[in-house]
Amino acid sequence: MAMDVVDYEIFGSEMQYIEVELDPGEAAVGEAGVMMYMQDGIQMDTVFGDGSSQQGGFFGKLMGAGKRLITGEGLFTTVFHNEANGKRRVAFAAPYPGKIVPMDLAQLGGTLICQKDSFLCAAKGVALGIAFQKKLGVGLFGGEGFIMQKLDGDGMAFVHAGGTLMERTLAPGETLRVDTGCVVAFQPSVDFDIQFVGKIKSAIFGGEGLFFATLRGPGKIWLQSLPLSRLANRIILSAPAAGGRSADQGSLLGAGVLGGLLGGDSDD
Amino acid sequence: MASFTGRVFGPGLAGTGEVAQAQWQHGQLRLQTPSLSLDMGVNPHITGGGFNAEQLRVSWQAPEGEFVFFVDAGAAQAAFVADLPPQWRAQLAGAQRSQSRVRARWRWGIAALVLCLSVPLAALVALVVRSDAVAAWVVQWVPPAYEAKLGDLVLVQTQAQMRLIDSGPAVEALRQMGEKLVPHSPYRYRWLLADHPDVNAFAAPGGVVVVFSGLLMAADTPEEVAAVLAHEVAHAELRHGLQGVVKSLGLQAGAVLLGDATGVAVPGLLSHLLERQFSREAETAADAEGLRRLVAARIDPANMVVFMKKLAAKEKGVELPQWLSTHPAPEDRAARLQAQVSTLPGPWQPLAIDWAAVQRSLPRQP
Repeated sequence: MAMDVVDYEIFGSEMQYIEVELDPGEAAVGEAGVMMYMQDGIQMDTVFGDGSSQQGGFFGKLMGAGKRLITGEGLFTTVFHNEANGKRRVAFAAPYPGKIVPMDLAQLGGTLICQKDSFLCAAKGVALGIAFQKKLGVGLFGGEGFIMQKLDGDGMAFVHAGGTLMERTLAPGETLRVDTGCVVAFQPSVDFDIQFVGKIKSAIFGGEGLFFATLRGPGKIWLQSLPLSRLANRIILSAPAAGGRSADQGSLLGAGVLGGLLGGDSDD
Repeated sequence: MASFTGRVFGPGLAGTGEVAQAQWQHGQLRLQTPSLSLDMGVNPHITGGGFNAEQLRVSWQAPEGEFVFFVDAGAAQAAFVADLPPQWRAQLAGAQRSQSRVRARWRWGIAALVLCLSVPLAALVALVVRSDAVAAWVVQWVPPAYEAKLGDLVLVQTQAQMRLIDSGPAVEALRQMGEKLVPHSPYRYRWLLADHPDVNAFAAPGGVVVVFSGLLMAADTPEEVAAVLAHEVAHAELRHGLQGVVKSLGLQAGAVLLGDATGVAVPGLLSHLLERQFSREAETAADAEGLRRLVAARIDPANMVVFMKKLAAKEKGVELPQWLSTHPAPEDRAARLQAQVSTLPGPWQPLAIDWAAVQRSLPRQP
């Protein structure tokens, strides 16, 4: 299957966007709603399913779209064609603070398993599928749920991770214990499992939850330092509007002096 | 010997692995990657591996470190298995067992999930389909005293909307007719007249019967009013109002279980009682029961038919298709009642009520 080879450039440091350069006739697939800008000459086309040429017929398209619905994405993806005579650029922005990770699927063996919702954009021809996590324990306690996303193809795909990215190649048998929820992507050769924290005391008071995710090599893994859900939790916890405490806001000059001193919430 | 591809990881190879052409040669697995060729070690370890243990993971120790070779599911795995030397068959069986264990557990998990979701759903569907029977069963356990309280609530609601009259010749006539229809009732009946021009009457749970003055004006004889009373009293005695409450409560509980708590219980229930949206089955049952009560009180049941026809004539203008309205079409009801009434023997006792005086005593409509 012919993949479109795309050149790209990533801008920004913590809140990034990626600019993809398309040669005439090339196309890129973007997750619905992540497009930031595009030059004229780029034709936007919304397709049912994932826009890869692998799905034949109406039923195949329906299946692809159904899978996307299960992963919590839109039924449609947007394909950006370059209809102009020269090179044109289209940019996709990451939806929350973090890093955009370029993945060369050809180098990774053609398949990558990643956290659902982490897909940002790809060269046209990359198939976006779902991979059910069939190990029940991992699905329940691994922090990534039962539904993961599978990227198939041999072009470039771009995945988004929250916070700072940790990229690591595990040697055969090398194991890394990871906080659940921090796994962004891994090669399918990596064994993704869970492990009980070990001590009841740690399980109850350690604050790390009951299980670690374990990643056993060989293969490459990508971890995120700040899963979006954790960031969201912290924001909700400290948002006065949501009943949280604006504890760190206290300044001697601010209006919250008294509230800060008394340790009460100062939302009035 | 068939050749197949897999992905090999190990010292001296790319960290993300390299594609390897593999082939069994004299009981030895030979791998050829773009950069080097290597042989499987003497003591391989075969397990299920990769995502969901779908692949076969063959690992062995070499002097420079551990190598792992992954065989994809499908044709490659079949080729690998076909020529696997017998000394490693036991290991392969173990690996395949672990692969099928993951698959089996997954299937059980899905089955359990489907069951967990479908059982309450099926129960709910069954309850909705059989809601009348279920509601009737639940209502058995509600004491009449509680119904009386519900009736009081409805009374308060009604009083807020219209003027209720509880004495005078008209109310006295209603009581006289009504009490004939409800011998040995567990309820203490309250007969009330509503100052309202509509041709209407309703019975709330617990024996609250409200007749609109418009109905008394429309009736030519007291027997016609008695026929309507018989129908309404039948609703109360058959506890249709309460069944409706139970049904809508049950539906709301079901809705809450399904995660949609939009309905606010009590005001909704009261409005339900006031609107008296009885099912068509309930209406038919009330017709039959009312007829029985009229006959028991020796009041000519033909009046039921007469009044029904009057209603039919009135409703001509705004007719709905029968399957759309909750009340059966008056013509159908009249026809059905007529058939039943014609078989009943007399003699009937006329009601000793001065109907002209009653109608004169009604509040004048503006």
